[in-house]
Amino acid sequence: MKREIIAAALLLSLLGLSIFNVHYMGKKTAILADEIDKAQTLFMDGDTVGAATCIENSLQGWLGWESYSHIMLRHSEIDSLTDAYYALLDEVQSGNEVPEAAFGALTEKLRDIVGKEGMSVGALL
Amino acid sequence: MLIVFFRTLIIYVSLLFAMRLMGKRQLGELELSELVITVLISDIAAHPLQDIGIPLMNGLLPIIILLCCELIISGVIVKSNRAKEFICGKPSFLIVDGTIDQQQMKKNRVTLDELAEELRGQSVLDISRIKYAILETDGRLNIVLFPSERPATAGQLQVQTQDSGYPMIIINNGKIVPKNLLLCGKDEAWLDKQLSDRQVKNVRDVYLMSINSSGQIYFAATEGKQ
Repeated sequence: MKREIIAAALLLSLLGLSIFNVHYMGKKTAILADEIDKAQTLFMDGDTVGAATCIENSLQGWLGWESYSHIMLRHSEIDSLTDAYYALLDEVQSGNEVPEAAFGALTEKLRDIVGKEGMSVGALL
Repeated sequence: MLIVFFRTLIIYVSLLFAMRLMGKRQLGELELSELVITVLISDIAAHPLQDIGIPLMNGLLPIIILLCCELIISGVIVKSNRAKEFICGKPSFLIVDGTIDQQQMKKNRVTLDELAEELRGQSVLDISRIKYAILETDGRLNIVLFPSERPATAGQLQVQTQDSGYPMIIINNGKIVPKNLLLCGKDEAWLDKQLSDRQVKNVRDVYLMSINSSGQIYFAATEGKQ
């Protein structure tokens, strides 16, 4: 009976940790995505430097989160997101016209991480 | 490479630990739930080993979850017969009183060839000798012969038999097992005498030496040493 209780407790703890993980990732990616949204607004207002700073802040936040993300996410997803950050930063810093979709694509990728982890019929199936 | 090395070690130790906790039955006959878990675990464990782009957590977490499920389910099975019947099914009588139950054969999808093969495996060629043939929940077929067909036991024949007891290994591949020597009430001096009686100078020259409770000794020298 002791073994079964320990197994059930462990199972519940893992469920709890998984729920915490989804919330933590949701919170973290929301902060990063907000920063990108801010960068987009600044860029539309013509503040290229401010936009680049916001993207850099978000990128630093993302890179600082690497050890956690490497444990929880597929490495291909991490690399693809990091590449998208650098591509957007490059475009913004070059001073060329940057389509709104480029900002949208990055925020979408960030939100997609949580979308895959969150409980939904789509993610489940 | 280094990552693969350590990942393999981690998965290997986790699997060993998981299988150890599942118990010895896992190594032999598998119930349905155990078979499912064994197949799943071996597949899940392989992915993070082959692809270092997949986090190790993706392999470890399912193993831990499956282990917990297996422990809980096996606990429930032990406690409740209803749950055992629901999860593992119940034994089916394929032969009763020397007659094949064709409905049970169909229900369990056992062909006559398979049944005949199983019976041959247990040295039974004549179905009319069988009182019961029971298909167990782990897939084994157990056969109970009619009492008149069963071999007579020493008790039935009223023959006195000697209990040779459990043989204790005293020397295992050139090494003395002191615990067993003590358990059978012998000491090193006795062992030295036994070895010198057999013209053995060194324990390393003995492959196996065992003694049973009636004092019978089995002795085998290491090949090429004597």
